[in-house]
Amino acid sequence: MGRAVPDVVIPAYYITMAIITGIYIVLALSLNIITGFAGQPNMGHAAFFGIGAYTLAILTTRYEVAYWIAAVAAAVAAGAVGSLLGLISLRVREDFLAITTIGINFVVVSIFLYHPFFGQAFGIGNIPMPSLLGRTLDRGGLLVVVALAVLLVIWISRRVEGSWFGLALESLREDEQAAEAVGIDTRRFKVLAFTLGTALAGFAGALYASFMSFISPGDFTFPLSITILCMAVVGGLGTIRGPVVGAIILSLAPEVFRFVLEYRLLVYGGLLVVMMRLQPAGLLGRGSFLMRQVERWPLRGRGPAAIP
Amino acid sequence: MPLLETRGLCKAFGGLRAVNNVSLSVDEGEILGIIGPNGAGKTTLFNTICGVYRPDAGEVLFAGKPIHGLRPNRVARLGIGRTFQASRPFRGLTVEDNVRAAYGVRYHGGWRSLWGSPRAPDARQRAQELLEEVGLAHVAGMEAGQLSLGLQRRLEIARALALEPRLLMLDEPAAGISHEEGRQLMELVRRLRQRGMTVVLIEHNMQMVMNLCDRLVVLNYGEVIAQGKPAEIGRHPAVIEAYLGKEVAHA
Amino acid sequence: MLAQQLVSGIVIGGVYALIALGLTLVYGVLRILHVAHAAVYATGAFVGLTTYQRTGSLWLALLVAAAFCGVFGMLIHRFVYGPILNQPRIVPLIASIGLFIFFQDFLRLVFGPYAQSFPARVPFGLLDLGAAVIPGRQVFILVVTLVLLAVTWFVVNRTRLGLAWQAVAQDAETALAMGVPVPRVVAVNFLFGSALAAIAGILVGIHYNSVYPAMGEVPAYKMLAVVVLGGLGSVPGTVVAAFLLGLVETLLVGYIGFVLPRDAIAFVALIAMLLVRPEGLFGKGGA
Repeated sequence: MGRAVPDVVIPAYYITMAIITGIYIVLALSLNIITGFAGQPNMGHAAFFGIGAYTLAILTTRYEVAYWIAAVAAAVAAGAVGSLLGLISLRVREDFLAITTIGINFVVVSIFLYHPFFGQAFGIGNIPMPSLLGRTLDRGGLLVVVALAVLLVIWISRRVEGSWFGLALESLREDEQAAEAVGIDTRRFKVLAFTLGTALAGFAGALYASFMSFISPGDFTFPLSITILCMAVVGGLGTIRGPVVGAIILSLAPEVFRFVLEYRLLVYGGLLVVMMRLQPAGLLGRGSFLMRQVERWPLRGRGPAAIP
Repeated sequence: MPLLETRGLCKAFGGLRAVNNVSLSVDEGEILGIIGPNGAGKTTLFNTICGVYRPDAGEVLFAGKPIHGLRPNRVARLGIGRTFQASRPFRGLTVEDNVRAAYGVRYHGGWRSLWGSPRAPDARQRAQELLEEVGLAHVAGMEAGQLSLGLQRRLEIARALALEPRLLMLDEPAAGISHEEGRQLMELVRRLRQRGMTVVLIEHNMQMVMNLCDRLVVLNYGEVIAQGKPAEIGRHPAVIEAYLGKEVAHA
Repeated sequence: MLAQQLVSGIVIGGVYALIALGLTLVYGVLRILHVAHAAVYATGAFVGLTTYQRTGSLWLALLVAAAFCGVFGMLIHRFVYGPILNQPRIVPLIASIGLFIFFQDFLRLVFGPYAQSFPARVPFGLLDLGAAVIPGRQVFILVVTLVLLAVTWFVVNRTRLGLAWQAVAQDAETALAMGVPVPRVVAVNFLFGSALAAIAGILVGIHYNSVYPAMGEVPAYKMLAVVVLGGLGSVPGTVVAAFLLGLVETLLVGYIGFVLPRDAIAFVALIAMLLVRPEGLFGKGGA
């Protein structure tokens, strides 16, 4: 693979960073459907990332299932469990729901860690790369796949945002009882939001598994869930540009500012607090400081012309 | 056949009977007022009719068909629109989107709602019509949370109308708005009735109630204590007692 | 053997109760999940350890840590939660998580990532009950815990502050209208809950003879499970759930040798409870 393309030598490092960033973008956008559009707190998103990764890993290494079938299965598996979470969310309100998602993250990781079927602490290795037209892709090829996945998820997000589905989600986010009163079946839409968001995370998990070629339970713990949430929130929950930019910033920042790596958590934590205090809508959220500057320019702004 | 009918409706919370054996009926084209002192159970009655609560006993019939026990969104889609006592628009959405969200109900089929856009011309036009109906067309792009209370209430009505309901249930629509806005509200309700809408109204504003309603139902402690035309109700001893106390009633 | 396990379970349950109480108190008045509480807990352990290392007095360590963290908690409310209470619920929640991550890493930077020992000399010796032999440290923990729980019960139910807290927890607006100094009640709430958590941190440090920056990690979410299990906002519910969890964890792991990790028990129980009875054991008005 790669012979048809001019032999441009891109340092492996950049390819790696691009793949990681791409996967984070997919994760942040998938979470955005659940927590941004539908307003349902999900602090355990990494669990579904993990379900996707493990599904792909097990199907390809143990049962020799074709890659793309396994990748779809990864999305389906994650979405199936996600729909269960969606059903749980019907019984359980905001705060309770947030805690439940943390619990689910924890339980899922524990299952990976303790059950022999999932390789326990040893994880699963030798995970293959995707293959296309009979040839196995290399990292460059995987990057193309990830880039396509990013475009796909952006397209899905825009589709949702501009559709009745999206409007229904936003309505139930704003006021669930009022949404019911205007005929929106909030239950059905909540479950659908969870299913879609988690399935996409599962798909990202499949790509991640190939990228790493080896996965273990520690890759999918609660801190990762918080990181994904942080990306979406810092960028601007409920928008599409927000999670994209948030993911880019937060996955590249440790590289750009090397010293930040040592203080990474300090920065993450501090950033979350500062953002929530000063700009809860996110850097690029509606009505945020940056967006207001953008809207002031003679470019066409989006949304209500809120010039303070 | 009355459009809406309740028979022996009961709803209790813990030991408290919020709605106790309420039977009433509303004919098509009527404007029925539900009045009573605070805490009489009026909003609970609304909530029980609209499906927010499941009744402990009794029935609710809409156009002859039982609707008690159905979820609120089903009841809404069957043709009952309602507003809330504390104004509840979708604050973060624009006025237009508020109405469109309700209008989109015909696409409620879950995945199917992914196709079709609220930005499509026919949807926008319908929203425009509804907003003009209630006089909100000039603020279509504004964020709903920024509207004044009176406008918010009108928005709620526009939203309820988007479902093309046969019955409109308004919970204290005149609360907290100015005299002039109240007058405009009455005009709006009359216009709607002229076009065949049936209205059930909870209100404390007696002027509105007396001028607008064809019939009244008076609740106290969850029970119906009187029903009839506004003029009769005003003289009814039980009603006076409920509002002003025993001594005044029998004075 | 069983008796020994029972005692262990009660000891750990008591500590859980001390930590979880702070969460319940905060939830009661502000309706937010104070995840950063676990950072207060860990900070308390370190402050206590440092005080003990400097002074050799365990009682002083408890006092200083309680005071320090009490103020710490109040500052968190004043500067972080207070200004953002009118935002959608996810905002204070994320801020709380951010605080937790921040302070946990801060502790790591100040004290180093490794565990330190806390070899405190407790004023109790071995307690031989025949069926069970309780080490002095556990006796100490039990005594402190029970005393503090009794104090809490007294404060919540028999003092004006406690009644004010209950009023605010039930209906803050009405309480304010009736002259209850809500901001002050909330501040004292944080003070008290944070002090309890600090003491719990020291007790745990003594129990396992280990204090480390990440020690708040598991309690951060496990205590949430306890609070939800008992019924959000219910003080007796929290205490009961805490003891139950301590017992179940100890018995299932120690006695039976359970398959899932010990920490997962809390969450399995949580999920089960939320499906069956979302308002928790003692909660009122659930999902």
